[in-house]
Amino acid sequence: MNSSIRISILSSLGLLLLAQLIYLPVLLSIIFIIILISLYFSLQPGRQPIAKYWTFSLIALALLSIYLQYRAFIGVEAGVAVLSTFLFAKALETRTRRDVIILFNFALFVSASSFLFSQSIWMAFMVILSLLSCLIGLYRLQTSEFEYQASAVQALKRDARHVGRFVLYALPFFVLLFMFFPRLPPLWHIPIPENKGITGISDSMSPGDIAELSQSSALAFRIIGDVQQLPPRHELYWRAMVLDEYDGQRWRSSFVNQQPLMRSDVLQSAHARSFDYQYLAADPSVRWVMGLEKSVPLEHRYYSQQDWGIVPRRLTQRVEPIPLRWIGDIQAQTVSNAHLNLRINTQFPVQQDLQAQQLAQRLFLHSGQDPERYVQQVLRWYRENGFVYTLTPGRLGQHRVDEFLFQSRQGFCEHYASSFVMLMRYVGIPARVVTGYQGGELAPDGKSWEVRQLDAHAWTEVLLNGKWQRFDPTAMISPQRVEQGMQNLIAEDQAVLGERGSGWYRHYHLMNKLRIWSDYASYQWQSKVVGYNAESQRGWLAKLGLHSSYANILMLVLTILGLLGLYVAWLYYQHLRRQPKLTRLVQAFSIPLPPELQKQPAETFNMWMSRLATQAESQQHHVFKQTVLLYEQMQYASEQIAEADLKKFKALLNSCASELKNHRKGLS
Amino acid sequence: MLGQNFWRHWLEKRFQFQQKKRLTQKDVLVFIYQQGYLYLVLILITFVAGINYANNLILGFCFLISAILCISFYLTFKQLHGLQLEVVAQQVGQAGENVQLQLFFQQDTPQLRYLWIQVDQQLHKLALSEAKQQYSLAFYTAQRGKFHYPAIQLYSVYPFGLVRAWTYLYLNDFAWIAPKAAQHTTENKHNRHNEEPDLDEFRELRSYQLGDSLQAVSWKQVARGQGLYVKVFEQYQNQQQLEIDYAQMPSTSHEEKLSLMMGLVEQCEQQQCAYALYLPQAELPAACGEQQLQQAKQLLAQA
Repeated sequence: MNSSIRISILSSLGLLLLAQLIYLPVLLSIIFIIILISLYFSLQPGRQPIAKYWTFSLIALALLSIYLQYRAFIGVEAGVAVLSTFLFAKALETRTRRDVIILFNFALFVSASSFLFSQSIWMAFMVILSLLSCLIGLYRLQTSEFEYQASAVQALKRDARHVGRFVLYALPFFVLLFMFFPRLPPLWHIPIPENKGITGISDSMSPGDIAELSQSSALAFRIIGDVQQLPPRHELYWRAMVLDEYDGQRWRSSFVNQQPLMRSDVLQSAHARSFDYQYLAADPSVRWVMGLEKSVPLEHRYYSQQDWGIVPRRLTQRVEPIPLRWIGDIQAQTVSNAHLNLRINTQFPVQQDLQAQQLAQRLFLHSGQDPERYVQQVLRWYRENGFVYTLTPGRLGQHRVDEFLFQSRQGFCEHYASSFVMLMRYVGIPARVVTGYQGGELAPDGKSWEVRQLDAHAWTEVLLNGKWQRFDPTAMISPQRVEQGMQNLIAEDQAVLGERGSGWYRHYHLMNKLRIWSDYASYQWQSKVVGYNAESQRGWLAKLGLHSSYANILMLVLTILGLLGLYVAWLYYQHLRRQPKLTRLVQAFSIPLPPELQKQPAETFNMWMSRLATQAESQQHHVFKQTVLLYEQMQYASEQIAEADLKKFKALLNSCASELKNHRKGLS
Repeated sequence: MLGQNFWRHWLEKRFQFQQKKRLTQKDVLVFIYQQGYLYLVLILITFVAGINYANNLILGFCFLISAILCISFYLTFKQLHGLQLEVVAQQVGQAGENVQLQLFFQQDTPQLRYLWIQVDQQLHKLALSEAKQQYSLAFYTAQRGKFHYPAIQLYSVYPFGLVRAWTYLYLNDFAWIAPKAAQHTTENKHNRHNEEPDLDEFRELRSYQLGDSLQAVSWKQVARGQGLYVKVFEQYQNQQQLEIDYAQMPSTSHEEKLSLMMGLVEQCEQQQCAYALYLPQAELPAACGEQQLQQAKQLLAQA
């Protein structure tokens, strides 16, 4: 095999591996690297190909590692990993030219499927590189047949230049297709497996979970729309779900909450201050849509649950903004299973946290058994007892509420929410924990609102006067957290970080700046490229004043025709440019003349001009003679033709043309 | 079968080649080629994957490779388009040897063209880079008689082998193939002239003229510094030329007779002796030399 082909095989596979490296199981990546190294040696001329049993055992090991990681061979990520494995297997048994062709085409497919791992700019960049590398390989395969002794590296460089040019030619077509090709709905449903390693709010909570989440400054989601209409920051509660079942350790959500909310309920409860916005998740595999409390989805693909959480009907990998409508703080009019709801929200483990139970009874008596006064009493109690808001609250033992309320008194929002709800329940007031995010920051361009993992939050709701009312005990302890947002809190008060201290903060600060900008770049990438869909297409066409459903097909055809026209014009221009200036001038003179006066193929310039002279007034013949003289001077001059001469020649031709015109006028 | 025949006739009419031609839009056919189908499958599955996973980048990838396919149609077409071709065919050949077909390529602006030439069972590759280039094809001829040059297919799969642009050259040219020379060993009475050249007698010296054979130069005179002279011999054959008569060939089969005649012709040519040919339908007056040989060959081929 030609060494240049060997290089392009290795580089294509290497680039693919690099693109997928962070998504593949570690063992699989190592196996791929081993395969690449052995390919490097076995593809060299005169070497024996790798023995069959080696190939088989490597591939079996690779498949095993995939199974260990994903517990399946189908599904999105496992599927792509299996495809890559087969690609490397094919590379190991590549012998003939035909094999190489198949290998490159297969590699193209695997590069495309890498987008199932991630649709980031980085991935797109890597995939484009491996696309180029495969194309160079295919090109090399064709041209290497004709050459005998070009150095591999030089040949590759030249081919890269050629292929680059071809891809450049193809680029306008690609852009047009991308913009105007109709986006079709899926042909069949593809199951998307539940993702295990997601960061973000999960469906259960135990104290410490949210504090852990809050140490990440990764983007959670982004709100697109008229940001000016958002309520003030301390009212920005992004609701994920209600947690109402507590077993002494973890909070979970009961099945009642997951029942769908009747749409009619929602629509009846229209609110004066409603506004529409879009929600764009950073990670599309997160199941909950964190709408501003309280919002309803506008698309049928999502529905509201009884607890006002918003979830998709079917899991998709779609990274498109979800349109939502904020309807303000209203209550569902018909609380289904009201009795059951009441029971669930007053349950508590009777044997645990006895000290806290006593405190609750005492405070409840103090407030005259009035629930509203009791709530205020409890909040005041928190404020007065030296509680500390910190990201590193330390570990709690068996009686979590007691230990927190009476010993450590250091906690993060979930500790406050959790203990507060328990204090309500001990005296029979229904209460529950709500998780989600609170606050957020304006994006660098001021057009969208970014909510990060560090804004993760837990607060409470208490059923008072038949209405679920929001209480945020964290706001009592650390009003700054709610008023100014978590980012500012960390920036100003590093005590929140606890033992981790300022070293971490410096690191955090730098990373945060970088992070905001890279998130912003990837948001632009996501909204402009990845999230380009039928709606954005329609938007484009509407801007151009086209509203027909056939508009994009029409646009596609028209623009492609236009592009072809441009190509033809460019080729014609190139053709013209290749002719000497003199010839061009003569042609420009000849074309407007009537056909019988145009230059005949057999005529010399001299003969032609003499013939033309007979068609003009005899006293003007000298003009034609002069023209011929100058033409011959320039044509046979050894040096470069002077600009001045060309100008003069042009002027002479013009006067010739006007002479001819005058004469013809005179005749008619 | 009928369809195939019709197709062949149509091609023959469409791609009739008269000596010289400039390949225009009408002459170049373009279509997807072999691995191009694999590539089409690739486009299709990336398209389905892009739609089903609602993955814009996979869809974009699909559009990019489709655009590359479209561009390769144009690039492949450009490989043949505008190429000027001229074919010069060898007119007379001999069975058991090759006849040559010279292809002259010319292009206005030199451009790299990677061409494949398929003809019969042969496949040639040719990289054109100069404004003018020549390539010759050789055909082995086994049979005496008329040899029609086969149709030539000229194609290119540059740049990626996805698309092929091709054209046919249906040549009108043919070559006359003379029989293989055969020696008759047992009866040798017609080869009397064999011993005769020795009897040539020296007649005179005359001054050298352009075109005279160097073998006839009298080197003795040259060595003396007297200039170039040519020895002229008394041509014995002039009186006793060889008459090669079809009827007298010692064989019963037509082909064998012709082969024997060819053998005699070659012998005469080797010995520079004049010969005349007598065939049932044609005659060739006595003479000797390259022209005579070509005519003799042609007559024997046509017989």
